[in-house]
Amino acid sequence: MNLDKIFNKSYVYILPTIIALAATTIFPFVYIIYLSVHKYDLRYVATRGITFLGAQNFVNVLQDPTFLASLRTTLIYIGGALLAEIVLGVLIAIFINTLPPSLSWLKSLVLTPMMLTPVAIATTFRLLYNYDYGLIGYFMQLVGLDKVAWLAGTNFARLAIILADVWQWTPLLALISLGALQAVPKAPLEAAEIDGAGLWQKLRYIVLPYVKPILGVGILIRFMDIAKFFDKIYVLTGGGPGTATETLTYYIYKTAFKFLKLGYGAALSLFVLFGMIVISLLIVRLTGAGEHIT
Amino acid sequence: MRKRVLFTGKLLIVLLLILWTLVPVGWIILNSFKSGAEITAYPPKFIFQPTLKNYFSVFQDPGFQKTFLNSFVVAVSNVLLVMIVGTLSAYGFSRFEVKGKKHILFWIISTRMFPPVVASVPFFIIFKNLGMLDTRFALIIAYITFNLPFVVWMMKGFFDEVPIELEECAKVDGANTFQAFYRVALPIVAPGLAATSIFTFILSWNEFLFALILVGRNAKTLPVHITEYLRWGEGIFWGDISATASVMLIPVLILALSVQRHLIRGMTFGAIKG
Repeated sequence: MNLDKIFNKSYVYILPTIIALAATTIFPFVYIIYLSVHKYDLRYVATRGITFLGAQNFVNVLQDPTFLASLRTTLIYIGGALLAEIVLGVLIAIFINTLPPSLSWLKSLVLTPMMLTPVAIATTFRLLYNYDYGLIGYFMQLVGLDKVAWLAGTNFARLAIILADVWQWTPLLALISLGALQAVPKAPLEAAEIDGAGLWQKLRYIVLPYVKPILGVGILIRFMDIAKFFDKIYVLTGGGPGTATETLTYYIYKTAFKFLKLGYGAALSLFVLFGMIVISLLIVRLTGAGEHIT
Repeated sequence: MRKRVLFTGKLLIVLLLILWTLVPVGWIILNSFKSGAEITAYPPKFIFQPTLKNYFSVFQDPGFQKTFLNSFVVAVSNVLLVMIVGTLSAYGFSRFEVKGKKHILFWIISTRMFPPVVASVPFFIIFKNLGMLDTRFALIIAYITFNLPFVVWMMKGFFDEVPIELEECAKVDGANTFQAFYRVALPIVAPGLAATSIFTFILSWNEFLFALILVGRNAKTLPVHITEYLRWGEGIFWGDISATASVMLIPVLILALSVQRHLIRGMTFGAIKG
């Protein structure tokens, strides 16, 4: 009897999750705020301890040219990769939607890349991009182009990273766009047809309102993933040449775990987190993706 | 005539899509059956005498054996942990009126967005102070941050689709709420449980950043192992590298195909139901 009562309480089910997530996310978050206002240098922490800095770390971040450069690189990736993935994803979805059911295996095939281990995919692309024996260079020569040292120059290295990301993640946008297309009801479209609406009017007033929030979820997910982009850069270029392909995530990784400046790394993290939250909210507001998330 | 042009166009696009998807993965798997010199041959060799030499070399390497085992143990332990904890609370959120439920659920999904690199700084210090850097345990705990919110949202979606009447019937027959959960609801969502476990396994198996930062020689996982080859010099090791990459990719390929039906739900954390 007593046991029955306990099992009827919601917190019996929910509390373990709340505790686990509080311990693994809220606690680190608070700890990061603490670290960000201190000088915490792993090399000296045993001898000199931790010094309180106030807002000094944040002031330094804003004047840090490497931070600003990596912010710029991150924005280039977000702009380039996200745009390409949205356009290609929508086009692929529209195309797959017109195929007969007998070709549904094609859909399964096309969607597979997004599940695959990013590090292994990046390794594969490193082989494909290789100047001396890479397959991409070979194909370029076959069609009469010159080989390119993909990973050596700033622009080509960035393009190479974006291409590898587009290869892996366009399927996600295609999958979500397919879902969005199937959510558009047929009846209003037919009614509009009878009333003499043009293609543009149908797209603007019937298709878009259904598609936008669903596509918004995809854009939001991809934005957040590209903002924390790391694996492919680590494998393909290691941030190089120089620091040309370094993202914010990569810079934080280097600051904290190569230069061992954990306090400064924490301050950088807070900037990134803040920026991500602001842009995410903006995406949710603009696309109406909120109806699917909450 | 116009119809034929359209058909040819479609066929071309289909071929292009197949090639675009298959070539990168196919190429690394193909290369894993070549000898080292054949991989770095130019022009690239498409016809060659296949060999299992790379696989023998990789599987006999104690470094690979250890990292493979680590990857597997970490992923499976994490899946078990988050599935048990997460499924319970998913049921709680699906079946109970909880004060501020909407806010709590939003908080849970927002932790999924917490960038790993941000979490890695405090995790590193905490595990260092606890003397638990370079242990599988550190990774199993770190992976909670992205897998637990995922399980809660996925499983809540699956429970929401089960009519509550079935459990009410069981309760009339004298079952308590936990028995109704365990005996009635859980078997119904079994396919969802399987799909969610597979997704969480893949997410753990694929994870790189936490593994790079939190563990070293002892608890190293496969993704970190493969990047070390590349650091030593890619030219000499391509045989081993392609075999290792294939060993990482093939299980994921099989698992991914088995969750096709739940893909959209899984990739959007249950936000969009397919």
